[in-house]
Amino acid sequence: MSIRAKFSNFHDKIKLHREDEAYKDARIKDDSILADIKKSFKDAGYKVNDSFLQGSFSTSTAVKHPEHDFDIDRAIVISVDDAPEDPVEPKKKVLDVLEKRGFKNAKIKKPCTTADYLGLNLHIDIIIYRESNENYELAVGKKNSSDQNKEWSSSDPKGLRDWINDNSNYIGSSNSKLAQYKRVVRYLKRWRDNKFSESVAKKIYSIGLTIMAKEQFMPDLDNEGRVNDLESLRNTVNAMLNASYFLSQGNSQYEVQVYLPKSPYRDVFDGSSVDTGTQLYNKLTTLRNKLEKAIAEDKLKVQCEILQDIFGSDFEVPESDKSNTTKKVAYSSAGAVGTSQGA
Amino acid sequence: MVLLDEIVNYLKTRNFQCIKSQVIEKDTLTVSVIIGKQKVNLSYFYDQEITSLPTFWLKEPLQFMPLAHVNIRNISGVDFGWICVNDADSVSVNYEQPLLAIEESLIRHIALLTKSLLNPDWNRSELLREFQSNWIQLCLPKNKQLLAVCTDVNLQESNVLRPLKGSTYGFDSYYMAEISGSNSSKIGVRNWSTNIVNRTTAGKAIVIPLNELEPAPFNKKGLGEWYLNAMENLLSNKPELFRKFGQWRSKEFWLILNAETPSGRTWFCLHLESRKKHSLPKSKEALEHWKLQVVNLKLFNKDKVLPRGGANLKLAKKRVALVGAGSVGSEIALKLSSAGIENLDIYDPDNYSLDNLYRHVLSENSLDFPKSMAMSFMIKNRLPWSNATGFPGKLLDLRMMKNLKNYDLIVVAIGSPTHERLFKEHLVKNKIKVPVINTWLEGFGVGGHSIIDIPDSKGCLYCAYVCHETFTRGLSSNLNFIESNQNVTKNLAGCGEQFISYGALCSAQTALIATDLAIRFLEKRLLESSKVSWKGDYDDAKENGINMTHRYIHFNESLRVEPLYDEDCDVCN
Repeated sequence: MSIRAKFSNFHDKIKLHREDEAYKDARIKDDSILADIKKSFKDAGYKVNDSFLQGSFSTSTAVKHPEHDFDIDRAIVISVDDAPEDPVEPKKKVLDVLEKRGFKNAKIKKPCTTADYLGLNLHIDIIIYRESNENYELAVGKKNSSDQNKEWSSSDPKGLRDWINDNSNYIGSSNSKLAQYKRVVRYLKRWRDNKFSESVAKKIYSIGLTIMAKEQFMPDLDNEGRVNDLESLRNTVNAMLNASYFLSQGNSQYEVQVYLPKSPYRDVFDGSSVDTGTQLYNKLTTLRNKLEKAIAEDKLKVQCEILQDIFGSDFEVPESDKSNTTKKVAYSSAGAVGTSQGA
Repeated sequence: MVLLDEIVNYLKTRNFQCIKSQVIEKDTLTVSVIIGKQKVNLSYFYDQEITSLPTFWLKEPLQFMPLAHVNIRNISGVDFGWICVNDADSVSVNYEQPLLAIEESLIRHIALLTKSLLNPDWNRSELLREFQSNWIQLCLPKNKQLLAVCTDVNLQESNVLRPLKGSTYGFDSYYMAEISGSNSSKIGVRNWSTNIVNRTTAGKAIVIPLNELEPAPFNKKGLGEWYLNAMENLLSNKPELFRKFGQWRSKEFWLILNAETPSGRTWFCLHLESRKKHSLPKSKEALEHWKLQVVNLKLFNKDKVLPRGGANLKLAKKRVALVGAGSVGSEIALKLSSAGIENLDIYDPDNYSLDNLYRHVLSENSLDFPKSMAMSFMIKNRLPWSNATGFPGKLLDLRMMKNLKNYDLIVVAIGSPTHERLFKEHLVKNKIKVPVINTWLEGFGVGGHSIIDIPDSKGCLYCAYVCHETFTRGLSSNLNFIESNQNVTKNLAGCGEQFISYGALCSAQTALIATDLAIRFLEKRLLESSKVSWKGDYDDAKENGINMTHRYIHFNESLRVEPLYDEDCDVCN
């Protein structure tokens, strides 16, 4: 088995889809909460026009956290005509629904309403938008914010999702290259969860890694079309380090800045500490160097040991050094694929 | 073109002795050279345009003959020697500098004559080497043409059959004689036997091996002398042979003579015709009863015809199954048979339809006929020793066959990844070790692919299906140039009428790479499982909004045979 296939196995272990069995209870909970919120909003006079997933589930970049809870990022869209002037009003309705359903730590944060469901290790963020002609505005404000700190703020959540899912810049096997990008994002998230303390990992926002990786993504396929995730990850991390995300503060200290590519174009890491930026820069540098070492290594076992150190035990180390250790048959996950073959 | 005067002046500056004159009423340049002690005159008939290496004719050639590479030609009642300095088509002439071209040609003519005149051993050896060519020179276009099957060089006889009445072209227009080796000739079965009732006997063919061969006579006048000399040699060297055929009496003899030459055994024919029945003449007097004519003999032996056409006799006994007689398969069938494979079993369940017409080798005569059988008829008609046979089966039907491994090779040209993988699974599960070629093309002219899966070598069909993203068994080949899950078919008439858009060029090109793999393998020049692709352009696919694979974008190895093995193939590891 090649190091490419080892990466593929690793990815299979860490990837998380909304349809996965492990996520089943969370999915059921999400569906029933959504139904309750829709009813509550209807009673309040603002009809739900749309709801969609935001975050990593909408872009197929979700990963299983080695220890912690599942996330739900649920966007709920109401019509501009129905929406109250006060953006916090619908968020209060959401809070009410969550509290009644036994969620802990339910609170209204500036961009969303959030809560934990301890029995399921579930963390939920409900984001409210109002919409007119596909122009979205985010309900911003905390429970007791003054009027000055409450607003319907322009936002483009679907534009961001589409930007992440866009493959139009990849020439040749564009779907395969997009999929490789998404795997790179998952590898970076798993690296973050494995290499940072819990408190710092929380501040290395997934959307920040996702945007940096998207902007700097370096696909790597050999001439036969075989993906090489190790090379792609190394090259992408290297490009991330060499881009302008890290602003030197002197004394090897860095501030990190990553702007949303879509409205409201804000800095994702706005308010982050220099310590967070510095740790991210240093650990990304270490990651790049270790990936270089893995690439230079020709023994599969040693390569995997290096990668296990980076990603944790989900990256398996084979017993043998030989690259062609027996491979178990693995079938395609597709029921059928349209091909261009004829004769 | 330069004027004749300019040519004369130029050659004089190059120290040639030359004059301008009129020969057979043509403006002529004659160059005189001394070769040995002989004066040789070479004439160049002035021409306005140089389209080939200028010809210098040997004047009064009979005084020098026989000369190798010189033939007597009579022009306007005058004999000239035509000197073969080069195959006309193999020389690229500098027509833009005609003086140089003329000088170069003159030098070549003189050099060849010098060698022929001053080196008698070489001259004789060359005359023998080119015996057959010189013999045919004596044959007029209206002379008889004899097609003979004869694999045995020894004395034997057979009847010669006349052409079918009214036939001008094809086998039917030839005299025919099947003297030996009839079993090896399918044409014997089809043409001799089916037409024999309509052909009349023209006389007796006698095969005579000559121990000693004299150069061919350089004109028809020398034919009698050459014949008598050959008989005399035979009489003194192999009297028992002569005694045997010397007793046979006929009005017409077709002497099929053979002898060793420096270029191998040569076969040639002399026709003798008399008003009354006589035995073969042995003297000048006896010869007077006979009219002699050189016959253009075409030896129709498998071992002559196949190699001359580039086929390999060693492939004759190989057993090959071809599954799929569509546009690609039909080309493969023809090319495998042309390569010398006689035992080709062609499987296809479909009948030939009008939709196939412009990208298939079959003609409209085969419409609605089973493709496999139509192909076998067509091939056998075209390639006389082919034993191609058609069967109305599908690839998956072959799973029922118990003797699959008796095939030296199975070629699959159906473009159906599902059936091809199912068939491979059958072979793996039942441990049937038979080499298989899978070949297919892709729409819009973007390219085609062939792989050969050789048992007990690294690489198999599944290697060509390893998904290069997940490293699992994929459903479409990783060789493909078009990304999967796109609508690549065109539909002009509704469900069941979809088709992939490609032309005859694409199917022929794909067939070529598949056949090349097959022949290399059968000739034992390819021992490892391999793959090969050809890449076309992207214009048509682009116009139809088709996305291409990374492999297509970066592929620069068209027609190059590469290892098939994939280190992530679960079967090979």
